[in-house]
Amino acid sequence: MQTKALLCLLMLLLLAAGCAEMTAMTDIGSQIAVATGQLTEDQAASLKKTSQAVEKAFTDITIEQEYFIGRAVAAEIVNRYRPLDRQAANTYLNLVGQALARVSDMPETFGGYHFLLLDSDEINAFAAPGGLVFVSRGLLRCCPDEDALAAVLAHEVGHVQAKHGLQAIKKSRLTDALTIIGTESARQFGGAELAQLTTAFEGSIADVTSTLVNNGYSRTYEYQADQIAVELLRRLGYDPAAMALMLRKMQGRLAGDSRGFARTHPSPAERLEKVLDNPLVNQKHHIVSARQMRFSRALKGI
Amino acid sequence: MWRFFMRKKSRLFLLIVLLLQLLLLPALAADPWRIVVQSSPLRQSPQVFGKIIAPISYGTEVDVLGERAGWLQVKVAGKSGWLHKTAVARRSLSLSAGDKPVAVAASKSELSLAGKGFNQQVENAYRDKNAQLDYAWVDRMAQFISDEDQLRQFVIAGGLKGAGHAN
Repeated sequence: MQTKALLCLLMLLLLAAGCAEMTAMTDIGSQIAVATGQLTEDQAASLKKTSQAVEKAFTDITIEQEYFIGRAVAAEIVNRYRPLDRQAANTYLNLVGQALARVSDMPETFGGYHFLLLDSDEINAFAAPGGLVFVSRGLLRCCPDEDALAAVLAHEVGHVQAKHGLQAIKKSRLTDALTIIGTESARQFGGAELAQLTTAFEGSIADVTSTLVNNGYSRTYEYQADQIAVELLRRLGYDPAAMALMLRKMQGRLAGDSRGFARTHPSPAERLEKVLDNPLVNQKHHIVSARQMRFSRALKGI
Repeated sequence: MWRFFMRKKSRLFLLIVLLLQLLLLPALAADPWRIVVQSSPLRQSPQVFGKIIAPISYGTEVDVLGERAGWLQVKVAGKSGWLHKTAVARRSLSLSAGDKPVAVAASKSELSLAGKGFNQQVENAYRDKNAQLDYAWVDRMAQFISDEDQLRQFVIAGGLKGAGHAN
C-alpha cells in the first residue's frame, strides 16, 4: 500500500514537471538506480531513449517555425502554378475557408488561414503548413454549389489541422536543426549555424513540396482529412452530404486524367466508400438558395 | 516490472527521486503563457464569433485562469476574457548575447521570443540562396483577411452556425 502510494505520487509529480523535465528526472533517477543496483545499465539506457523519443516527435516544430515552413512551401506552389488574380473570387474563397478554419480544432496559426485560387485546369488543391491553401480553377469548376466548395476547403483545413504537411518532413532534417538551437531562437545565428539551419530548412521544404505536388499523402491521411472535413461542415452548418456530392463529381471528371488529384490522391471511389459510412453524409444533398446566389455571383467567369 | 517496485530498496529509489524532484521544482518552474500567433482576439465569451474585447499581439504574457472546451479564460493587459488555446504556449524570454533578459518588444517581424531554429533570419538566408523564388504572392495572400464583421455577416447571411444574430 505504501509503495503504491509512493508510486502514484511519483507519477503525478513527474507529470506535473512536464515532459522535458521527465528526461532529466528519468536520467537522474536511473543513475541512482544503477548505482544502487536496482537497474542494469541496459535498462537505464532504454528508459532514457523512450522518454527522449516522446520529446522528439514532429510536434517539436513550433507554431512560429510552421509559419516559415508554410511560407516557403507556398512560394514553391506559386512558382509552379500561376495565381488567379480575381478579387471577388478570392475574397469569397477566403470567407468560406476562414469560417471553416474558425470552427476547426486549430483555428489560430501564426499567420492565419489564407486561400488563393490558381489559374490551372488541373483538378488540384494544396495546403501548406500554417494555413496557406491553394485551389485550382479546375477543381473549383467541379463544385456545383457553396457547400461542395466548403467540402473541398474543409478537407484542406483538415490537412493543416492534423499537420500532415509537417509530418512529411524527414526526421533527420529536424535532428540537424535541433542540435543548433538553444533557448535563444531569434538571436542572430552565426555564419556556420545559419548555413546549417538553412540547409535543414531547404530539406524540409523539399520534403513537404514533394509530398504535396508529386507523391500525395498516404491513404490514411486523406481519409483523416475527409473525416475532419465532414465534422467541420457539420459544425459550421454546411450540408455534410455535399462531401459525397463532391467526390462523385470528381470521380466523373477525373476518369482518364493522370495529372493533379488523380496522381496525388486515392481514387474518389475509395474516399467515397469511406465517407459514406457516416450517416450525415449518406443523405440527399439540400441546396440553400441564399448560398447558391452568392456562389454564382462570386465565381462568375471562373 | 511491478516486482521492481515492490522491493524495499526500490522504495528508497523512489524516495530519492521524489526528493530530488521537490528540490529541483523551483528550477523547473514552467515558462509563462504567451501569445504565439501574430495577433489573437481576446473575446468576451468562449465562442468563435464572440465579441472581441481587444486584439492581443505576439509575445504578450497572459494569466491563465481556467479552461473550457479548447478555450482559455485569461487576464491580459488588465482585461479579462477568452483566448483560443491554439494561440498561446509557454515561452521564455529571449536572451541577449550578454545573457541579460530582454524585454519583449515584439515587433511582428522580429520574433524576439525564445523558440527554435527556423526564424526570419533563416527565411532571409534561404531567399538569398534561392533568388528565383518569388514571395510576392505569398505576402499578398497573407493579406487576404476578411474582417471580423464581414466574416460574421457572411456566416449569418448564408444560414450558417456560430455567429448568432447580427449585431
